[in-house]
Amino acid sequence: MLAPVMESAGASKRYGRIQALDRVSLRVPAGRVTGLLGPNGAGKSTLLRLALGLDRPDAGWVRIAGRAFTEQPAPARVAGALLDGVGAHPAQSGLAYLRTLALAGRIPAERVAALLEEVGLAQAARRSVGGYSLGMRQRLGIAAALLGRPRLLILDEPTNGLDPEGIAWVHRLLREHTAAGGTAVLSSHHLAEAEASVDHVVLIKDGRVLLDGPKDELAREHGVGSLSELYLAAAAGSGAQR
Amino acid sequence: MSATTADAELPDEAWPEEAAAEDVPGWRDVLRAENAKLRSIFRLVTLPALGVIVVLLVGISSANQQQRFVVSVPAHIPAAQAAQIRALQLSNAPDPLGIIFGGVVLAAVLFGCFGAYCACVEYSNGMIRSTLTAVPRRGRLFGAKLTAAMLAAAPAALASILVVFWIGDALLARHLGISVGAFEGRVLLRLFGAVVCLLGATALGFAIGMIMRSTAASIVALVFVYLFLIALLGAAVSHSVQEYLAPSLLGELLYLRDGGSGQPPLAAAYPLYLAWPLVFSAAAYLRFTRSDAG
Repeated sequence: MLAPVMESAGASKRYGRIQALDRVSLRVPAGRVTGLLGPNGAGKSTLLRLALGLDRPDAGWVRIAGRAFTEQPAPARVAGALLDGVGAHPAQSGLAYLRTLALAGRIPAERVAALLEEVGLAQAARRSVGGYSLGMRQRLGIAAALLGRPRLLILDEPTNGLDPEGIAWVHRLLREHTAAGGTAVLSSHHLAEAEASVDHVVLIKDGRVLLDGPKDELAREHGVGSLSELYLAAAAGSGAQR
Repeated sequence: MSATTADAELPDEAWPEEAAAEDVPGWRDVLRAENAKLRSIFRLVTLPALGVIVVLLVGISSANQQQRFVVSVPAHIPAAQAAQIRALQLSNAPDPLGIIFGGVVLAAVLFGCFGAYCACVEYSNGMIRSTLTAVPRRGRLFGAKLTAAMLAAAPAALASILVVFWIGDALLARHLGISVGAFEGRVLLRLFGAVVCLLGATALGFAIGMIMRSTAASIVALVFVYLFLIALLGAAVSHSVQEYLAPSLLGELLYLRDGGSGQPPLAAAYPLYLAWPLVFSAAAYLRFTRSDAG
């Protein structure tokens, strides 16, 4: 079995009355695209926030490449993330936003220009992000995630606002990243859309992991042919256990 | 399940276990990034805002001086008699330089608002998540943010005080025939004190902003501390306690009211005034480093 790049053990998080995560333990294997899948409010984004050190777990831990993300000496080279859309200020240009992140991560300025070209924003680089379309903002957010050539690429609902061509681009990007030896986590509630990209599946609902394993193995075990069917089978099993 | 992946073998050598030393960002990199961010975010907002602060500062002080020195002498009075009246006004005025700096207290509030805005701007649109992902070491990030805000405010504070002083000095010279002179007596110390007042207010505003994470709430808190706290406390606390509040200390630095009743000595006013932003910054640091990103 491939060693995990991201791993959690007993991770729990509560926001007020809502138990967002409940003793989540999982492994994201290296060199694969792991689909963190489940309905809205399942706890996917919370898990990613804990992994990136944005929020603190009430119990348990989440580590990336063997240690807490907040302890990584060169975080941009370990993990890059797109969470809740792009994190740029509307008054900033796309170029300025990426340059700022590059400075913080000690990443060469040439990388910014190359990435803007790669994500198709070279022409709009000097425009204010406030004037970008949703798809352009997603592309900029993905560029920010790729900036440090990270080992682990974390994309939370990356295809929101993208046209079919953009969606295909995201899936190609994930494939190319893992083909180069990297690891990716794709968080999505669009099971059918994730079908094409993911090798490893973590199904999550109500803050709990329902299933965690290679997609093909899980499908075989449950006698299903798609992620949607797998989710429904797992959710039904979970409901029956309760 | 194993407890750690520290000894795990990863499949590709493109990502070594430990980053090369030249790839590890340090404090300077984070500070450069925060400076660049402030410039890029605030290029449309900040410079006009700082300009407004300077204009307000100059305007308020000039109006104050005009009212005191010019308007009060009617135009029909002969020049020699007017000069006598103005000289009398000057002798009765408690402190010409204090009058010149009449708008500095309000300017301190405005600089505090700027500090609060620097702290809160990333919380209003989710930018903070992107920033913390890029710089997950929060202590370092906090220091860089505070330093960047102070570096942005320092030239504006210095320029504001010098402009107000020169305009005020020119008005004094024109209408009263006297010049305070930057290098006379304790004037330089007072100019320095005024700049410190503005920078202290910026740091206090930043700290309050980091604690409250809301620009509007922070501005309300700042206005309360600088303009209403003493009045609201009123008789509830003794006069000697009131002298240790930020606006009283600010007044002492501006007016050099050394040795007044119940006041701390002037030498202590600097550290006491700066203790306010320091204490609030310590609280803000704890909030920033120990709570969720928001």
